[in-house]
Formats: sequence, structure tokens, C-alpha cells
Amino acid sequence: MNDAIIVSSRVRLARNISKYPFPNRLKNEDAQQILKQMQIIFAKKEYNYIDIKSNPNIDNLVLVENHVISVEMLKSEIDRAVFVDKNDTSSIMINEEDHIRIQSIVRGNNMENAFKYATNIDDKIEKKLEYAYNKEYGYLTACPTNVGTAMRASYMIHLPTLEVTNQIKNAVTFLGKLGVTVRGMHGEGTEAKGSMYQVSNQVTLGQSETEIIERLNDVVAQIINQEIKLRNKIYNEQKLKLTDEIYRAYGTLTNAKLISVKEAMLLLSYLKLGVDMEIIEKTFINNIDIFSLMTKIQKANIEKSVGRKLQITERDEYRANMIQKELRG
Amino acid sequence: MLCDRCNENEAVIHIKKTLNGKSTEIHLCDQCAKETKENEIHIPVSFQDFLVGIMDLAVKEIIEEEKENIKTKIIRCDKCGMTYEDFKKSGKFGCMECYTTFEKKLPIVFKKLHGHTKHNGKVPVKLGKKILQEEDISVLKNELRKAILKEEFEMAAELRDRIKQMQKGENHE
Ligand SMILES: [Zn+2]
Ligand SMILES: [Zn+2]
Repeated sequence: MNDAIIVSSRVRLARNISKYPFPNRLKNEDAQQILKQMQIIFAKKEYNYIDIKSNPNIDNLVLVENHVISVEMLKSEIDRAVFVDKNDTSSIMINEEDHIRIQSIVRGNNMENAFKYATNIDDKIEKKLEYAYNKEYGYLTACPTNVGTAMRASYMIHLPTLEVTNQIKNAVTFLGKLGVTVRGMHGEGTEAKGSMYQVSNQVTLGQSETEIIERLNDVVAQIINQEIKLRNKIYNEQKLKLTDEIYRAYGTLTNAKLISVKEAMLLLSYLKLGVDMEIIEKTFINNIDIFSLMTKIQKANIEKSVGRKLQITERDEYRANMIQKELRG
Repeated sequence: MLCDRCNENEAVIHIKKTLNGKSTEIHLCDQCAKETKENEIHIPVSFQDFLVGIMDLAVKEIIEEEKENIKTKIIRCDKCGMTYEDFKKSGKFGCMECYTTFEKKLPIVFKKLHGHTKHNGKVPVKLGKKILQEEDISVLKNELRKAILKEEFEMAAELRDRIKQMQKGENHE
């Protein structure tokens, strides 16, 4: 069950090179110099190099929706790029808020591997250059909220019953008091869609990486427990109503001619709940991965797959078709 | 007797003060006495040494604090040009030197954000070695100083050689 509720585990490490000012004070020549240095470290054999400035806007938006780069990456003025691991587990953003942002995302409940991958990349970079680091404050970052380990560990978790019963607000307040930040599926400031929540550590200074992860695990375990309790309660008390909702979601998803992203996310969230609670069989929905589909139906992903900009109605039509094909096979 | 403040009118008010065992008097004309409270009296140059005593300690502290504030406003990072005001506005450091430049202010900021003021996590492999080595060297240098003071020259020579060797090793990397 935990594995279904935790959709993915992510570790992000921020690093800077001692020689240069941070990106907010960096000359473009220096930004280019950093990109060159990084291209030597991350060979073409293993990593795709994407230059954000020259990459088509639509492709950049897809990268944001797929959590490969941050929204901030699109706003910056200086030359910047991302290296994407060909195994699709890690990406390294260059010249975002910090010179280097290493990110590893692993599906399911697997922070251990996410941390391992990110650490390997970190050690690989450190062999080739000198980091901005001191004994007192650890890894020095542009923003004081990241200093120390400069690590953000986060889980993407699916909390539909906490949301439906309006208990999510209490849960978020509770998490905040325990030093855990909660955000929507697409990061800072975004509202949760499809009942997907990103929870991550707030504190980066004074605790070791292991401590940070352990504390986050403790807190997330409590939230998941609440979600499971609620699921069981609903199953025991209102099984027919729940089953009805899930089949109605399936009905709409497989028959609608137009569907907005908001509606689709909500219904796919029900469908995921149905599969995870074994109310419907995975084969019944063609064994698809619902979380991947949630990403594929986002605006930029759809326009990219069609190959041009779309009007809202067109987009809703393409989305409805895509979902039907996926679910029916 | 003329007034201590304006040096123009006849003094009519006489205030006796005993400070640090020394007794002094202030003489004021009617108008000046009305216009000023005792602490704010502008004392002529001849009363310099007595000024130190009369100045309220709290007033001194406030002035010191203001001076400090003016200083931090002007504190500018040599490497990236960021001032403390810039940092407060943007919430971002401009480079790693900023951490040294604004050193005095940081514990308060970090305590608020993290509840801690000292790193307790990963030490980078290569840099970590360098930091340890620098610490070792500074320990040896201290011992060397002691040895010289105690005139233990044989020991001092040995220490000096070890330091040299370690510094060489550092440069090789
Ligand atoms: Zn007078
Ligand atoms: Zn600076």
C-alpha cells in the first residue's frame, strides 16, 4: 500500500563553484565557462545536454511538467542548461539559482536510491572542481534557506481520501509544525491536482543528510497512516458509494469527448484509488501507470505530442482521446 | 560669571555634580536652563574631561549601535559587490565571500530559518581532506611557537620540517 501512496522519491542537492559569484551576480561569460566545464564532466554517452536558451519553448515547458527542470530555470537571463541522465533517473541543472542543482527521482518509496544517485553525481563533480563550502555553514548556496546540506528530500504522495474528507488542511498544518513543507504536484505555489502532494524537509542546516531523511520518513509515515485509516473506514462504511464513484470516473474517462486537465486529474485520482484499494483490477484499465498518464495529459505534453499550439477546446478533445486510447488499449 | 552654554548671558543657575570623585559645576543663564535638560547641555571645550562622565551610558550605547548600523549598511562584499542592504532586499547571497562579509549577521538569520547555526552534514571528500590538513598544520605551528619560546630548538626544527612537508603535499594536489 505504501508503495502506491508514495508515487516517487526525490533528492535535490544544490552546489556552487567557489571561483564564481552565484548565478544572481554572474557574468554571462562566466556562465558559459561553467557550462563548458560541466560538459567535460557529463559525457554525451551518458547524458543528454539541453541548452535551455536555444531549446524551443514548448520543449522547455514539457521538461517542467515532467519535473526535469524547475520553473525558475525558464526565467533566468544567463546561459543555462540541463544534463539528463539517459537512464532517466537524474538531471543536473546548471546556472539556476545555484550553479549546480543535482536531482534524482525514483519511482515509488525509494529515497535510499534517490539519495545514492544524487550523491554519486555530487562526488563525481567534486573530483573536478572546488565547491563553495566552509566548515561552519557547509555547502554555501545563494538562498540562506538551502545552506548546510543544501539538500531537499521530497516524496510525491497521493492523498485522495484526506482531501475528499477535508482533512488535508489539518494535515498540512501538522506537517508544517514538524518542519515539513507541503506543495502541489508542480512545486512552489502550485495547488495540488489529482490529490498529489510534494512533501519535503524545511531545515537544511544543523542536521545531517541521514537525519533529514529519517525525520521526513517519520512524518510521512504518519500522514500515510492517516490516509490508510481513512481508506479503510470508507471501505468498511461506504463501499458501494466508493465503488460507484470509481466506476463513474472510469465511465467519464472512457467516454468523454472533451475533458479539462482539472477534471481529468480528479477522475484519474479516483481511478488510482480504485486500483490501489483493489476495487478494480489493473488489467481492467489496461495495466497503465496512472501517474505517468497524469503527466502526459498536461498542457505542454499534449501540444508537444500533437506538434503544434492548440486552442482550449482542441486540447480538451486531444486529451479525451488520449485517455481513452490508454485506458482501453 | 558667564553661562557655560551660550557664553553671553550672566549665569544664574548653578548645578553641582560629583562624578568619579571629582566635583564639577555647570553654570547656566536663565534662558539656556529652560531650553535644555541637563544631559543635553552643549558643553564648551574646556569641559571636555567632564563630558565623558556626564554622558549617559545608555546614550553612548545608542550612538555605538548607530555607528554599527551605518557600518553594516556600507559593508560591501569585495568579490561580488553585494551590500547587506542588497542581501536583505533580495534574500540571496551574491557569492561565497558574502558569507564571510556578513558573518556577524548570519547566526540570527540561520537560527530563525533552521533553528541551528552550524553545519552537521556531509563533508566533501577532496575539500574535507584539505580542511583537515589545514587544521593539522595550524596545530603544528602552535606547537612550533611553544617550542621556540621554551628554547627547545631541536624539537622546533623537527616541527618546522613536518610543516614544510605537509605544505608541499598540499600544493601537489
Ligand atoms: Zn546661556
Ligand atoms: Zn559576495
